[in-house]
Amino acid sequence: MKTLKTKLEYLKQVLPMLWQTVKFRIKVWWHKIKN
Amino acid sequence: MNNNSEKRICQNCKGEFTIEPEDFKFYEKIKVPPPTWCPECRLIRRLTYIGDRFLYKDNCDKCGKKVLSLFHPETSFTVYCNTCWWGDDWDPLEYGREYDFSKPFFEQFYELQKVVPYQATDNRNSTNCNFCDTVIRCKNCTLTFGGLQSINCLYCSSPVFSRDSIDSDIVFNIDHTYETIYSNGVYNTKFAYFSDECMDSAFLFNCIGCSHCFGCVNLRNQRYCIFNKQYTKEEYKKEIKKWDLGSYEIIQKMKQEFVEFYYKTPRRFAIIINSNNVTGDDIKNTKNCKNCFVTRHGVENCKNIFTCGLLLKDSQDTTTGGSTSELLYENASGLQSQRIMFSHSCNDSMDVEYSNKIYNCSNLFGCAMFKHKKYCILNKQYTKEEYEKLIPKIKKHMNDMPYVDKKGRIYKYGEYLPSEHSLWTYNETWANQFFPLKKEEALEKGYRWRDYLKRDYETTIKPENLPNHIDDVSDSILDEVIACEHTITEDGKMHESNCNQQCTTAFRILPDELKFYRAMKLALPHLCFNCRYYERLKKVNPPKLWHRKCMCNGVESSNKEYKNTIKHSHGDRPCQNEFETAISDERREIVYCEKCYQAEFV
Repeated sequence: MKTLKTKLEYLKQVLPMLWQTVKFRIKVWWHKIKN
Repeated sequence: MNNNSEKRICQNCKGEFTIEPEDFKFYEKIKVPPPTWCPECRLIRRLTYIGDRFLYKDNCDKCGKKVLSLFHPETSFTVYCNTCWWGDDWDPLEYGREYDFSKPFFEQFYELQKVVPYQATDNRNSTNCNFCDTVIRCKNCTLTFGGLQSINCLYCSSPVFSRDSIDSDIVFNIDHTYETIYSNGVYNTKFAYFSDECMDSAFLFNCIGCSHCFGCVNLRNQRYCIFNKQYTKEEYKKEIKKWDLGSYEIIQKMKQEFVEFYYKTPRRFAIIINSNNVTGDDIKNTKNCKNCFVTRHGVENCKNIFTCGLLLKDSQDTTTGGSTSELLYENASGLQSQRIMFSHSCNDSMDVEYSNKIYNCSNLFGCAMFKHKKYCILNKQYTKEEYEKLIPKIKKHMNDMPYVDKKGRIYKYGEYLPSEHSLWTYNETWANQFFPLKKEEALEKGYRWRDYLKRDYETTIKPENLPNHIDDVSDSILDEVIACEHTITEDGKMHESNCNQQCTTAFRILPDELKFYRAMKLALPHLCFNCRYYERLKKVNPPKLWHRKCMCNGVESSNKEYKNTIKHSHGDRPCQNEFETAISDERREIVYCEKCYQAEFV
């Protein structure tokens, strides 16, 4: 059984990864528009 | 409990290895005996159970559909296509058997493994990824292995959230890249190694946050640099025109120059980022881990780990696993699991020993291909009471009647499965990728070997006759069968080379691939995709550590190839720092400790 603590730890790892992906996608999109 | 470290002799290589007091605590916690093989031999033994990259034409043994399978047609394994394997009209319990106390356990488990149906390839929720294995939620990928949520990736290995890339390995968030390895957040870049957040660049090693850089090593947040030298935007644009990567000759020339420049620039003893109390290489966001390689995102209190990530805790001797798992020991490919020992591919499971391909199970011993099962031994169902009564008897029997392999190595309870019982031969597995052996060496060490398939491709063009520049390549190239540069042509016949790189001897250019090379202005490759993969692997450090001293002599490196640009904390005297590094002292690289490296580059 996953405890609440494990779930929070999981989110702590996954959310920055997702945020990194979103940032990267925006960066690529902006780069494409600029060029 | 043993409070002292103990030196032991490895049963396999006869070398000495040490078991630390904390290891004894761990073995006691999970109730297993201490290992009899050294960590490296244990890793190789586990790697012989991870087979990919070899895909054979086969038929599903249930529906008869043509499939690409990971298993050689000569093997007698039952292979089901993905749909049939996940279907409910077969039950792995049908293959169950009573535990036989007159035979060693490992023999009985091997006999079971020979009859249960295997998945031809394990692709989940993916579209148009027929020539791939272990890809999850991917789309339009070809010859890509171990990918997650990636689109249009060709010949890649473990791309995550990536798209439109070719020949890239262990990458996260990459887009329009070619030959990029161990990198994150890279866009429109060619030949980037161990680099993060870079754009519009080529030939980078360990660069972070760079754009418009060419042939650079160890740069941070720079723009318009060529061979680490700063240029203005205009100068850079003028200079870069000389390095047109659309030409194959220029790529080869650049590769040589970049390698020379790389050897003359110091590199950090290990890539360790945002981590505490760790030894190993390519480690990110990891805590209290020893001898760990390629670990990411919250790996804690682990030892002898290889390619694991995302909250793997309190585990030892684990390869390719993680994702909120703990207490894994001698395990390959375990995800979201607890207390898994001596097993392979266990997902969402707990308390499993000596099992293969398990989904959502608990309390299993010696089972294969199970979904949603409890209390089973050798694929036979027991009640909880029967199971708990039988398990100690089996463990005792494993010690009383151990399995002895052809080389005389003894397998009692506490040993991983013998390599000779692997579903693949040595050269079909990760073992040969990270610890390459020649056929004779592998056979001498007791591993199995399968000669590469005799291929009778009729090549229509030799690599030296390919157009040098991508602009000169016409669409007719899509119809050509190109001979791999590693093949030898004698008496007008094509022969397999001795490169030991699973050479396919010939290859084609795919329409999407040609479009990519044209868009990226890249010359056509001269090697087949397997040879290209093995060439990239040579740029990766082996999962092995050497104890070395910093090569900074005060004003220059000890091999006199690099002059320091700044005064270091140790002044003009040689640096005394020592470290564990995956770069052996036989290699040409200048290896600096963290302090000297940071003084020079960060």
